[in-house]
Amino acid sequence: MSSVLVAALLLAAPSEAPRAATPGRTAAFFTSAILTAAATTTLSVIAAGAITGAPVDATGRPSPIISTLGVAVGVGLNFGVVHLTLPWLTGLVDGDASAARAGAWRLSRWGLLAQGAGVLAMVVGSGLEAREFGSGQALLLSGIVTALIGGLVVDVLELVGAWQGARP
Amino acid sequence: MKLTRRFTLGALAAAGCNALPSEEGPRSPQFPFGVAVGDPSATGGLVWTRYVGTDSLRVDVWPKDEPMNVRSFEAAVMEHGISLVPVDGLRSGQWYSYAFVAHRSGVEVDRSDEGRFRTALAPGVSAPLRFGVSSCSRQSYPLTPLTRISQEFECDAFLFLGDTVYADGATDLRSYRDKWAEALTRRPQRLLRQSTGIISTWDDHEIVNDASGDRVPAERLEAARRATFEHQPWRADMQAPQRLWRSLKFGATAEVFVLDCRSERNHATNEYVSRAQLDWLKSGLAASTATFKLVLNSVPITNYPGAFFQVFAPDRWEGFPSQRCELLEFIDATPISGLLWLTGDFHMGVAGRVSRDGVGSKQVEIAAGPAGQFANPSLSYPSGPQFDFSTAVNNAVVLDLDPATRSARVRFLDGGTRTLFDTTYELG
Repeated sequence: MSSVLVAALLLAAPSEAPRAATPGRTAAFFTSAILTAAATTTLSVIAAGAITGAPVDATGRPSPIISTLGVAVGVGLNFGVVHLTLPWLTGLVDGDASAARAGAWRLSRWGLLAQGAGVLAMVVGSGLEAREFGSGQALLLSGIVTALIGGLVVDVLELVGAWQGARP
Repeated sequence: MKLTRRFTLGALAAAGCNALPSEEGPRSPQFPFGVAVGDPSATGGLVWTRYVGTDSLRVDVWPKDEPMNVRSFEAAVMEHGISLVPVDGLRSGQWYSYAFVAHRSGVEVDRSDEGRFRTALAPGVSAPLRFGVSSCSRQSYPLTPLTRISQEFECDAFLFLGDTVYADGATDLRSYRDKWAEALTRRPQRLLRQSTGIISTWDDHEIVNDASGDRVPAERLEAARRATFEHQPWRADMQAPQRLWRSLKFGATAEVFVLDCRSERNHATNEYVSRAQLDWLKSGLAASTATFKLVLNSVPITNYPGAFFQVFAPDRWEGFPSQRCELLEFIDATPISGLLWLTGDFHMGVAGRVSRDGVGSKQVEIAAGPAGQFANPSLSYPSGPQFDFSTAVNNAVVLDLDPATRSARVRFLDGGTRTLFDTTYELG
């Protein structure tokens, strides 16, 4: 998150002239964006893990639906933070945040859609598993893998989309 | 990376384990691993310690309630300070106390912790028995279920189902011995081994993760085997001293069959255990007149349905379907009563039937433990109708066998004060 602070300081600094996309500022943008995405992913995984590990059963047994909820919260947290911050960081290269956000959404929604499908698979898997042990595990497993891969795709597409949107 | 609570909890536990509170040491630093008795019989047991001093040793044994009635046995100290003393001539079904004594010309200069054990019931005697059971006791974990069993229960024996030590990373005899030293100097292990006799088998982590006899270099397997034989007292077969599988009798109440599910695997011939071991088990089960037949099976024979569990099926009986089927069909077809499978390895406690339908569906398997490990990372745990119970909590099982009713009471206990599950199986 320190990268975000550095970027915020840079963005907040008074500037008379428009910030040009110098190699230094471009590097600062990508570095900040990548570190922000990585930090957000880590926080999302921790949040999802905390919910998944909530003591819902005296014998410590996991609840697939609670695990699904944890993954859904992690997906939402990751997308929300990344979608708010990465376009804003394009200010480092004099980008327009609104245009960057629109560009980011145009690409990253497909990753988010994949994550939604993963969560949906987990919901269905949880239901099947509640009815009969073993019957929903394939869906749970594929859902969590899809959500994880989708998270990486979202981060990358947010970055690319924000960059493209900010500098048409 | 797994998005599960077990991942998170496991990481937290592992981190926390680096800050385990300091533990009270043994009575004498010359006996750093404490003492133990392995494979108790109706007339004795194998008394064990590791001695790092230079004086002569003997073992003093006395009936628990007759401290003046001491019998002494000379104790040879072998390589690595191991002393393994076959004590015989004791009364059956009796509690005994014992200690190693270091002496110079008969004058006592040092003494080990005091242990106790109960000799097995005499042949033909039928009486209730109590066993403690667990598995997977990673040395960096608190191992509180072991402490609880040693302090709250008087067990006829404790059954270690494997992964008593996590020797991963060891490659030669010296490093395997170091791993055992880490494990057995832990207070929970010492307390447990001093509290009753032990009957143990090994699993993969005594060798290496997911060990299979045909896939581990021979020198490494032999180093692991030797280190295990040094630290787990069990009666070696004089005709086949490398053999681990054996059976022990507790009167007419129980016979304990100890399997070796790791070192005899042969993927080329699709053998999970050797033909000799499988035939021995089948004939032993069929011939046994004991009310209960306990099979110490380090890796489950149960069919666990679902993607999470099938991923690891090749590492257990299910990965060798022909032998599994042969054994289960034999048990179903032969009038074998009182059979109970006991297993570990899975990092979760489970009680249930071996199969949901068909072959094995009337056989019960109890997965005991882990005594100290991260929980199985599956997002879903076994539940009905095949399974009666499952838990992610570190645990040990207390098994009460009542030959009069042919019933086995199974209690899963955590490391605190909770009973996680308590049920009785009619095994007639």
